[in-house]
Amino acid sequence: MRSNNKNTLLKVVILGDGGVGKSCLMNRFVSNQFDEHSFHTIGVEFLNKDIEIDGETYTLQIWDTAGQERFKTLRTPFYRGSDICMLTYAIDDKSSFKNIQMWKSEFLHYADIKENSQFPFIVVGNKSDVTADEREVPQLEMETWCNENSITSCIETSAKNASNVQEAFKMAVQYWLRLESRADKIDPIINDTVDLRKKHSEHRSSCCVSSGDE
Amino acid sequence: MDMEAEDVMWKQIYTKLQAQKSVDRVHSDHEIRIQQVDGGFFERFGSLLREQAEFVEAQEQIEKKQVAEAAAEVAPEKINEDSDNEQPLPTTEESDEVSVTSSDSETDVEKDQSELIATAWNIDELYCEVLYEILHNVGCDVSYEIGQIALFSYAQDAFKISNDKHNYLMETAEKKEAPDLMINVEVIEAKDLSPKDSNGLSDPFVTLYLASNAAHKYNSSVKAMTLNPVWEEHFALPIQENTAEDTLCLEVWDFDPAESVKEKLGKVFDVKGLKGMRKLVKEIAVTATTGQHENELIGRANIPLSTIPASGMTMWYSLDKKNKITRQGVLKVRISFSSEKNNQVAEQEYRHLLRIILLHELEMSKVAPNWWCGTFSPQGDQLLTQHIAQSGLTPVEVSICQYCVFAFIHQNHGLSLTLFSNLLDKLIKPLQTGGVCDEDIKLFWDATKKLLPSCFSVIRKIRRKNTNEKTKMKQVTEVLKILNHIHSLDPPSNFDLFPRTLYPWMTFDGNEEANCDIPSTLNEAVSKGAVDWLNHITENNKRPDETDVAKLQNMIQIIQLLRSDLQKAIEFYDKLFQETVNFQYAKALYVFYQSKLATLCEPEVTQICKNLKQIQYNGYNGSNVENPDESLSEGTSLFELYLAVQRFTTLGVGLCPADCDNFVIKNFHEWFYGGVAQWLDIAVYKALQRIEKAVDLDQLMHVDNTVKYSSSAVDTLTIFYQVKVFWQQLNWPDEEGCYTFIAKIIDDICRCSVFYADKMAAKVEGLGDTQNIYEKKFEVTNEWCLAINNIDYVRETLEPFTRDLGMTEIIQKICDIKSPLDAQRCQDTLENVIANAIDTVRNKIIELLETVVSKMAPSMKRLLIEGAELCEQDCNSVDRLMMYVDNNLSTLHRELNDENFNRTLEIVWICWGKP
Repeated sequence: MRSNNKNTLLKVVILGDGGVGKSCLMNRFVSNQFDEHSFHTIGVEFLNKDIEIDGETYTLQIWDTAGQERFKTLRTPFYRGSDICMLTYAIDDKSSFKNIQMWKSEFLHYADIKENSQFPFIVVGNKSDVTADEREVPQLEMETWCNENSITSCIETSAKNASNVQEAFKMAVQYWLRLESRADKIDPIINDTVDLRKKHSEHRSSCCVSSGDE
Repeated sequence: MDMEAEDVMWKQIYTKLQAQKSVDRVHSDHEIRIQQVDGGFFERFGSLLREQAEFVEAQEQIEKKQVAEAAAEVAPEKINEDSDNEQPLPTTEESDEVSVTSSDSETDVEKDQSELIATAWNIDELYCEVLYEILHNVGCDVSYEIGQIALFSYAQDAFKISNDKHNYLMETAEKKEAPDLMINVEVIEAKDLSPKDSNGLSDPFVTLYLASNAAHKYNSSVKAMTLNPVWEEHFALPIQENTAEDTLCLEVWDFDPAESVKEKLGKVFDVKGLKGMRKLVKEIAVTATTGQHENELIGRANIPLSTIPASGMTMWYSLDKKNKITRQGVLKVRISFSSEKNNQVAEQEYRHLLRIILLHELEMSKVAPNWWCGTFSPQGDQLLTQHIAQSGLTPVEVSICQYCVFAFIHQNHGLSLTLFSNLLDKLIKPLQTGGVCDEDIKLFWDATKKLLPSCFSVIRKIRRKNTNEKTKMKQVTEVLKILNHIHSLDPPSNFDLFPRTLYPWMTFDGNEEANCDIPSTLNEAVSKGAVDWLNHITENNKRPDETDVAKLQNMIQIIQLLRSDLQKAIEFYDKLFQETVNFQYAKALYVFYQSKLATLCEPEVTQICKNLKQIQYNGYNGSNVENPDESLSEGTSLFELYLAVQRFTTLGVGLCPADCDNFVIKNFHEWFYGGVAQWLDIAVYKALQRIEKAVDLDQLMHVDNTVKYSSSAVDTLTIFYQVKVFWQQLNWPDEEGCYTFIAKIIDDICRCSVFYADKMAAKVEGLGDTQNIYEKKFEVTNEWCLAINNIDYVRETLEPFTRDLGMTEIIQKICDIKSPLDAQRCQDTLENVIANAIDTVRNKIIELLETVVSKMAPSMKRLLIEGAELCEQDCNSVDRLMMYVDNNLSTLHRELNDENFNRTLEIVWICWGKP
């Protein structure tokens, strides 16, 4: 019956410099594909994917954004209403790591998140397949940065050899769940009004279900 | 629902919306209440903005039409101008200061002092000369109505001579001998002469003399064997006393010498070389005039001198012969009077006289500046004509003199430019072919130097509103004609045609030694005019309150003004400039304007977009935007500006298709990126607010008998429609931005539909539950059905709506400029978003239906139980059950659309089928 399949719907935004592999991460996660010669994303890209955690199915609505500066005005409108924000960098590109601070600020500003409020960020260091010589960002440095920014979820992935990709998204949803349950205890009303998605997400079911009714 | 049916439905919605609007311009209460939520936010950006754009366009059409009418009026006028008999009716309002150079502090400071002194020095002498000419007026056109007395008094006024002096000078003039006048006769040609020789031809020549002195005969050369001879020979006959009674006699003879001309001509073939030929011709001529001959008269014409006008004439005369009734042929001659006066002296006197008379007439008639175009009073005209005749000035000399004097006076008192262009028409050929003496060439260029600044002044001040369009067109036409004429001539070497002092407005490009010519100065004048105009309108449109809205409105105003200026340039001036001087006027203006506009607007717009207040979400209940009115009008103004720049850019593409890619203004939309993103962000918020209000106000009644949905569905679709109109107007030029904005809009619209479904469901939640002492009961109500239909109705519009946004087109474009793969990904994204929303809303409907069914369940269960218990005794309860089911299902069947009713039945079977 449908009622058993009522999925929670979560909006995920993937941010990070151009070329760190945001689209590759998404494609690996959604369709388990990898294209070495993928293109720059135009503006934004959107895909759905169901993920199961502890017997519960969540539908992730993933917005992949274009990292190039010239797309800034085009991508920022999509931040609002996000449930999860994935900050990505490439471990063989130091500057992309440095920039996640900027990405975080940009997200907080345009998503209109209140200062000091906990938001489920997850930091993803992609391209873990590169050789040790090519690595520019030690895992420790990433963990330090996350600690300083009170981000508890971070992971190194490789979209190329499919390492940790599923885990990264799973980790993100779990983090969201933790924050959600805490927020519900403290002040459930705030949550209800701040975000549009969440409100109807409780009634939401995934698209595949309704097809059976026709 | 197939695509076509969807299209039809979508169109019907629009038509309905539009029809509603047009039928009652007074918006319904409901509409007003809905719009009150956000101050008519969507209407302002959608249909109102469009209406405004349409209004602006309509205004432009009217303006264009006015210009076109003015142009059309000017065109036939031109024919009259040439005949110089146009008598304009100047009024002070119409007077145009444009070419009065004195007001520009551009006056020739030198003022030609020497000439002024010369005038003073000679004034008595010249006056005496004029009196003398009056006394000895010649020609048939001497007006006896005016009479000598009137002429004397006119001259005395014009010269400002006292009575005493007049009397004294009169005496002097009377004492002078009668003038040594000549009558100039050019024998041009004859036609249809009667044949005199056996071969059916004649060898005609012309003899001419004055009746008073028949002995003094002049003969033309002989033209052999022709009945249509061409002579073009000049003769000057001294006139005796009593000119008025004398007669000019012209006789055409057939030559018949001892040795005929024919024989002599036979020798032509023996003659060698040019010199020999000339000799022979001379000999033939001599034979004709002096040789013994028994010539035969072909015919004669007698012309009384009193019939010849002082200004001369060219005429065909028919040749008569005694005893012959038939015409002997016709003879064409040009006759004029002249004196043996020194030519330079005569010209100078004429120039002085012309100046005195013109100044006098301008003073007397108080003619408005730039109106006088060559018409003198009869007295003035007669004095001038007499002087020309009695001094023997040629038409070219007269024209040069007029050109110089007019140009001189024009510096201080503007004259009609038609005057100059007409004079140039006459002068250009003689000047080009060397038919003008050096002295006059110098005078011509001096005068041209004085004339040109006022011409360029007209170009520079082409936008001044102090004259009507018609006059302006005419002025510009004349200026361009003048410039074209002058450009076809070469000024003398070392002659500075553009002295710095006369062109204070020119930049000379910082090059002090710059060599100016007509085209470069014209170009300077055009751009200077544009610069001045732009400065003028930017100054004028400056407002004390420099709020962002004021700044935006200001820019819009400026663009509109520049646009209408360009429209005018294109509609009329451009053709004129191109045809007359081969100058691309409108294009030059556009190139200039677009770069200025970009410089002016880009930093402002970018800044304003950056400063747009980010909207703060605190949920959808209640207004919480700071100062909503201000940010609203700011947004409206911003997009008005966007549309204005957009239209300006479109104009450029039409005007200069080859260059438009290089214009800075081409990328204007980039200034607005932030603004559009911000607007879309605000729009979602406003939309959600409005949907909530619409659901609130919804009475859950059919909008009309033909449909099965209620007001909030229409209100929600109105929002979508307005967003669509807004987006269509933006017509965003770059593909990547376009795609992303569409993605954003689709995502937002989808959110709105989901939100609407939620609100609708919440609204009917408690309806239909009734309770009395005996039972708690649920009845399916029309409201429930309407809510379900509403949600479904909004859902159905999602897909066609996204198509209307131009999704397919933009995907195709991305495919072209990027790659099919990119296009595929973009398309997948958009389709995913839509599919998500449609499914979500559909699930919402199913959920509602399930609710309905489950609400019915308890009543039915109870009835069933009752029925089972009392089965044997009473079949009423079964009837009641059947009635309940029947009632509710028939309500559902009546009110729901087929699809939803079938869904309900399915759910009923599934639910009730369960134990």
